[in-house]
Amino acid sequence: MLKRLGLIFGPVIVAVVAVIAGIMLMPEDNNKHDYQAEQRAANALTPIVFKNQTLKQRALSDKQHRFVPFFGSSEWSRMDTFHPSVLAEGYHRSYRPFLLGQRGAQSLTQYFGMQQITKQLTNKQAVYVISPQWFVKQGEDPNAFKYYFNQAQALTWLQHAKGTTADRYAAKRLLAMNVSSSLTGYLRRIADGKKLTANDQGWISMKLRFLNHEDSLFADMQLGNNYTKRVLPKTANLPKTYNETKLNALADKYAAEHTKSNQFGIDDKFYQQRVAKQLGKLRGSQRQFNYLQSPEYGDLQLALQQFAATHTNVLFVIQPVNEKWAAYTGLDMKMYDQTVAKIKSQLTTQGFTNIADFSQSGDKQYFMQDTIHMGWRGWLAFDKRVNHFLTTPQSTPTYHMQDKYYGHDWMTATSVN
Amino acid sequence: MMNWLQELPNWQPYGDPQYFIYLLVALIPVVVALLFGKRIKWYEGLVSLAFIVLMFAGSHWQQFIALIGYIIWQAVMVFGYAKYRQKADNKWVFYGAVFLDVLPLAIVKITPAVTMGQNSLLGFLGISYLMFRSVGMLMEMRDGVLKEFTFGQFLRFMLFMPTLSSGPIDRFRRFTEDYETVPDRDKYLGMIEKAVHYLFLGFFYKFILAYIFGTLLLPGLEHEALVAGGLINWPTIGVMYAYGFDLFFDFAGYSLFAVTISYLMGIETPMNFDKPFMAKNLKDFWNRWHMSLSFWFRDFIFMRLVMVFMRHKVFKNRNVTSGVVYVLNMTIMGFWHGVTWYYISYGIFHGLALVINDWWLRYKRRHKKQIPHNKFTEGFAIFLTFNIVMVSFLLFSGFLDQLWFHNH
Amino acid sequence: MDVKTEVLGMINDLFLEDVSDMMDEDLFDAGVLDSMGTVELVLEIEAKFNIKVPVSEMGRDDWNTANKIIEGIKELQNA
Repeated sequence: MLKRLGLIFGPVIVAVVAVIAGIMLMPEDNNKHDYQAEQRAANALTPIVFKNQTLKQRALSDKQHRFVPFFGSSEWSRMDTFHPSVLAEGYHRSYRPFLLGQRGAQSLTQYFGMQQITKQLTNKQAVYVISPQWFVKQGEDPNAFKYYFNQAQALTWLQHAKGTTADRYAAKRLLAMNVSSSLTGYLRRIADGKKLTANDQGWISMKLRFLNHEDSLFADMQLGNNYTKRVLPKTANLPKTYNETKLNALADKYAAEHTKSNQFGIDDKFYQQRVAKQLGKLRGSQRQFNYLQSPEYGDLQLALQQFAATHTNVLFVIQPVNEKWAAYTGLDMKMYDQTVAKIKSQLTTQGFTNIADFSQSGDKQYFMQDTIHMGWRGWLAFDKRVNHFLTTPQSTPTYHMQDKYYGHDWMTATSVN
Repeated sequence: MMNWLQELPNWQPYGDPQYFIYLLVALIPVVVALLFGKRIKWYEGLVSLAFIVLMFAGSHWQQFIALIGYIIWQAVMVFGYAKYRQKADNKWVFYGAVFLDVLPLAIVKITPAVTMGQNSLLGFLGISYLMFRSVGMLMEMRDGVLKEFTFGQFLRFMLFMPTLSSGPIDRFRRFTEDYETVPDRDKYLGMIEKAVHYLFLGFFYKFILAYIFGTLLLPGLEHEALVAGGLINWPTIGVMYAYGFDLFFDFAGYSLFAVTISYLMGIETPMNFDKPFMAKNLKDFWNRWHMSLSFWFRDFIFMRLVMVFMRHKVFKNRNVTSGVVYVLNMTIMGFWHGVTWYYISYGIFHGLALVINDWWLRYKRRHKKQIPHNKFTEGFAIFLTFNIVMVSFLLFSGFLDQLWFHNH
Repeated sequence: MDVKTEVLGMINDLFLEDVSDMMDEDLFDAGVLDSMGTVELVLEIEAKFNIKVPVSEMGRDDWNTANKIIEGIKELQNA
């Protein structure tokens, strides 16, 4: 019997041991710097890169090339000639954007993504694009959250979670996202304000060690290459030297060519694919939208807390909406302006004073590429602020965090006073 | 009152690698005992109970209450009818018992359709598979082949943990015989060997192939297809194949896990899939796809309807009888999947396709000499069947509901 | 006439197949029987032998060969 059991389980045991050994023997190499690979990751815009600690750490710790994290969501995929990555490349800026975030990613996703790069954020700069559309009643969609989430982010976070108001809030939010069941026990302890036991921490660090080796192993298997396919070729369109007037003229020319089909100034392709067929149905469709009450305010506070902890100097960008489109769909612009005021108040009262507020630019010609995303002139205005922020000396900000921003009162407040 | 249940972590069956580790470790005593010819019933019961509780713990705790209520309901039906059947055999009492047995599931299936997507509080993961088991028992009692059984046997069969959430659907007499007899060592070692093989095949299916089709390919294709719009477009064809393969590898992977754990517990739960995409015709397909379900429908719906129709000579022609029953049988299966236009039309599609298939097989038999039969025609038959099945899966996926009616 | 001759005759009439030289072969695998045919055969048997055949017994493991069918009928006749 033993012989037969040996024949059945022997190969299984050998295979399991070989896989674990293979992964554990793979060195955790976060200091390998290959500029092409880093650029590829920086412009990949895939959940794989978003979740991969090794790729992010390698690029952000490269001493020869300065990659700056650009946190945001769907706007990054609008890779036209005036996209910040194209401009930084074309004009040989001293920095390159490392794009983090895609459709559906919001502050909670960004906060847990940051856990993997806290060291790389410390005493550095970053750009953070806030879309008022995030601040819906139910906050981030759990499905979108899961798409950008992996266990290693939470385990890394758990190693430092202490039971502060912020930690307890984050644990509760993670529980609400219904992520992996194996985390539930830990999260519940933190949410209840209890500490993890030494035994828990032992398990966590063991799991993390395994996951981080695995992470390293897969870092060298990137798919797709936006950098060579979508960024580099577009630099050829740019004027030789940076010239605002010429660039504006070029942006107007491109925009005019691409917005012939509709009165909203929306890119023709986007309009044909996403709007034209349901135009009638969309009239007045946003009348009930309300961004004033949302758990997203608390989630934003988590991201701010992280920046304060790592002394990161951040330029916050507030996205406009296409005002012609907003008028057609009945979006309440007063509500929108109040939302922006509420977000800004949360930022400024705590010392986050670098804010590029484009919320009033949604009616400028060729500023918006579609319904809610900047393009052409919008990207140029964005780039001007970002470039200035990243390439001129900035005073060190002092942050004073307030726990009231995790409170129910703030998340449901409809006016800022 | 249910705080303790809410506090526990929720473990979806076969959800992640840790689940397997915990479950396999918990089963070691069972395996060792079986190797020595013993079955520790109390321990098996305890492990099963623990894993069932964890399956419904946390945010799913209401489902646990629903499960308990449902089991009580089913027990009343099954034992009530068993008692009645000892004395009499009125068909209306039988129909009534079946109706009441199916009623909770019917409510659960109809509720979302009439309340714009609200789920019934009576529902829980695996409710329909429990219904299949108990209705099967009622049918066999009616036939007089199932007479005596204990409450313990009933509970063990209904709540058999490895197959609780999504089958395969076993039959009471087969299951109980396996359970009451311990396989001899040689046979059991053979079962362990198969279990290990199925486990790894399941890993390959569910965590690699289903991941590739369902997680890597499908969302992108769906997005492209929705952007392209219209009645049909190329990306939708991509959605069709990616969804079809995802459906198969996901469900076949899950079924393999259920069979693996059953085998380790010394129960030969029937297989659910037998290379379905190698089917030569649609009838053959249903003998290979979700077999435990299609056999259940064959034995308890198809054959019984045919019996009724023929006994009462409702249709003169046997082919008309079989055609009508095919459509009825598959439409009922469609309704069982859910009361939405796409599930129901999926059922009707298969019913009608089976009628055509049957007609073709008859035609072929009558013209054996004229119709060529060789490797090439067989290959073509497999290809054609595969694609017809894929079209039906596109219907089944509900994606057309998004594409055509923008219901997201 | 004995049960065997009757049964073989029925199968011949219903499905146009002579199975006398394959008494132990699985009739489902051989393509002689299917669910539809099973029911027809059951009805035929019930009428001829004046017995009641439980449909549950007509499973594919129990009544799947000519010999098993004959055995089954004899058992039910004596029951």
